[in-house]
Amino acid sequence: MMFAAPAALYFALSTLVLMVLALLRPRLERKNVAALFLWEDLKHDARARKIHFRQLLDPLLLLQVLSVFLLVGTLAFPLLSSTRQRLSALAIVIDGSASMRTITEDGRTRYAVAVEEAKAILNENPALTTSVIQFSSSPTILAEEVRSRPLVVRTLDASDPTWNGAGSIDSLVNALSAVGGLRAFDRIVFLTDGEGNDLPSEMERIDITGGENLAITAFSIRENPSSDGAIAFVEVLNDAESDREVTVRISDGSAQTSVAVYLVSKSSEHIIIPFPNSRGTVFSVTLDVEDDLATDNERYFALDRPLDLRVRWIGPPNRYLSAALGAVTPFTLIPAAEEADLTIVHQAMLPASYSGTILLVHAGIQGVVTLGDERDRGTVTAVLSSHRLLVGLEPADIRVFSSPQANLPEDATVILQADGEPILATWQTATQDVTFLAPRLELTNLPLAVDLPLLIRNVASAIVRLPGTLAYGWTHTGDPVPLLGRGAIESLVGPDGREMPLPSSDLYFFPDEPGVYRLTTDRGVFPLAVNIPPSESTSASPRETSANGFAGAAQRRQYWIDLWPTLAGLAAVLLIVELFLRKRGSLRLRRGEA
Amino acid sequence: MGYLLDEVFLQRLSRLQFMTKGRLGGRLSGIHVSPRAGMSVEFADYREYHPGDDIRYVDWNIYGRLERLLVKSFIHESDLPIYILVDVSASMRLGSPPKIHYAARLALALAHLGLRSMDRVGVFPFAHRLLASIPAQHGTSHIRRVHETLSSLKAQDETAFEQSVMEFLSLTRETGLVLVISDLLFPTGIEEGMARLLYRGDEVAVLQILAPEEMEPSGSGTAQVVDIETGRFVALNLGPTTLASYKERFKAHQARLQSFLEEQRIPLFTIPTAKPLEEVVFGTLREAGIIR
Repeated sequence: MMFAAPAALYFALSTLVLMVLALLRPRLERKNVAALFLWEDLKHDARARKIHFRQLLDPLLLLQVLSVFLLVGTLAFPLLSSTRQRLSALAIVIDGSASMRTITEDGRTRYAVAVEEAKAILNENPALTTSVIQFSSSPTILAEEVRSRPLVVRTLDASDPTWNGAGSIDSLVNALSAVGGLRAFDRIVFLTDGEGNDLPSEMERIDITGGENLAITAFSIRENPSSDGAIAFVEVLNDAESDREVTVRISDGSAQTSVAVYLVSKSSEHIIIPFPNSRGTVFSVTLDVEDDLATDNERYFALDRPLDLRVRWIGPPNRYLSAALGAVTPFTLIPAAEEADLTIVHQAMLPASYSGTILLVHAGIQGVVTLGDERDRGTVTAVLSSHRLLVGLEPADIRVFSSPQANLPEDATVILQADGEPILATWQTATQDVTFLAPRLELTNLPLAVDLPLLIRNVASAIVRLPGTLAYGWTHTGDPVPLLGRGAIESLVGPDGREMPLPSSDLYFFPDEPGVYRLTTDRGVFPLAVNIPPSESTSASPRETSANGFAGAAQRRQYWIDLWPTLAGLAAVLLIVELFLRKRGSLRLRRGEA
Repeated sequence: MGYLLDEVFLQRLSRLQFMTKGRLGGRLSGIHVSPRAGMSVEFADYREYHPGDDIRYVDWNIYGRLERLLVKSFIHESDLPIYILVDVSASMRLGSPPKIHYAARLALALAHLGLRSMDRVGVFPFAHRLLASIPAQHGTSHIRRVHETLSSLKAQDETAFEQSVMEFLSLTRETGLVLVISDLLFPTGIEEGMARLLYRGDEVAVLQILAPEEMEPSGSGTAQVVDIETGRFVALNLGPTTLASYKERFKAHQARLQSFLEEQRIPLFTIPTAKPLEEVVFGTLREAGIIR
């Protein structure tokens, strides 16, 4: 408690005057005697002593003194410091972003700490109505103008943090507008571990901190332009207070590679990790470390295209070719009229209008490639032994009993030949990427050797790394994933392998937890890698007004309550009581005299 | 005169006179036996003749038989100086009626009695010292002066009995009957004052005037007990215990006073103010032999 006008307390000395006057009042009966020596040092009568004390402790005097003290207190304008203030409307905005899942030093999550803090605020500020908003990139109103405090508490207890990122201040203001607007509340408290330095002045921020975090903050996969396989781009953050040595592990589901990284405290490292021989479309990166937020220690990346190769087959089927293709990658045969990832033309003539990646097996393209007479061929020789289509192949082991004479475009690159005739060639046009295999498969030893699948793999690997329809971005939890152009949705499987309800909109899908989703449409299966936003891996800098990083230690808000009206009222009541008692006493006296 | 005493009372007093145990020396002839040999008809003794003796008192018959000159002596009857010492200290204001009032009436009665008996009566009010006094004189005209003095007494000041006695003794040369009228409620000076009176040869009688409240106090609650003479006070919670303690102390004081006066053969008459004056004079004092 403090006094706005402490000098007024000196008026309390007036009570001394009051007491002196009261003591000087002839209260004692005067008894004149002739011989005081007979009275001196007599033993006091105990019962009479009580009466004497009762006289000294005159209740009316006590009431007067108390009234004076209260009036003096009123003049001094006392202010009571309190952490409790009754409000008419209270809004609690609790950060529900993924970073609130960080475990604090006492074993609770930041979100649990925030919930406890929110309950404490409810106790401090009993309000007529309370609104609770869980704030993230997708703000949720948990309670809107609820009058029942237990209901608010139950709502808070039942809530869980999302996997979303933190939303913008504008979205927060919009969410508040939905429950009345900033000015509708006496107090708006924002419990967050985020930055939020540009909060509106009506909002009061309480920092929730605690916990150390190391995280993968960026992850991307790109085709290795100089060799086979892929390259992983990884950003690793050490937000802890000490340096750490961690292992970064990358996997495409079948193969994996890892690298050890030394991370300085409060710094991040960008790592480029080669991932040779990877043919996968779904990748994950894992940080082998123990910290307080495990979610961002693993992130996912998916090549946003169907997992199954969409193959358009023209010509008679060939079980060897199909088997080799199936050994390399899952594929789906689609009608010839649809757009395909790979067009296989087997012993047929392809119209020139077809575009995309084309594999010609003893086949031609109208007006571009024609096949002539068959002739016996001798030894196959490699013209370009280091070509990517020959990775893993042994040209010397390939036997071609006969092959046709082929008229190829002038810019075609011959990779293998026999007797001067092209056996394997490739060329690109503006719309076509063509691989040409001249002989019939049955007239070679390829169906019996491993070289055919290897050749198909090399062809397919080039296909999957083609830019164009591929998307290299990753999706954040809570952010919309566009569905347009993926075909008619048939099913959606979540990261846990369970089928999820189909999105209500054909335009977007809002993933609510990180992991790899699999969207199946009539055009194939699309892997969708969803990660928590990288911003969730970074803790906000402790602010001067916030508690320094310990759960539940947020600074209590101080209120100053004016006490002078209360004191003045009490003084008035006491004076009235004193007056009443005095009048009643005098009435009794008069009646007694009468 | 009727202001203090009524006529009937005064007429009754006229038939009484003071009695003394010893022979007190008045200068004038009176009805009381004087210690000196005198000219009265009552033979007292013989003594050897000394030159200068009145030869008229030589018993010649003795000389004829024994050839010795012996002188006859006779009892000297003189008047009795009566000194009335009245305590007019402030403590005499107490009581209902006030003790001073009672004491004045008693003193006047005794003075009236003495003057009617041809004795000389003096009135000596005292408090912290001897105040304006009336020397011992006789005659009915003296009664008026005594009355005026006694009726105008005012109780004030503290008591200094010994000092007052000393001043009294310095003012009076003849021994007499000293009547001390006081409440005797002072802690010191009583014994010393009495001793000085006895030393001179005065016959002393003490009439202690007390208010009933002083003998049987009452009260309750907290009181400021104030010494009316000094103004000193004590705050006391008056209850049965306190009052019982006071009574014990009062009795002890009275017993000590009684013991001392008896030892000195001084009669003490403790007279409550509630006691009628007639009863005191015609009863108590007469029965005690102070008057007859």
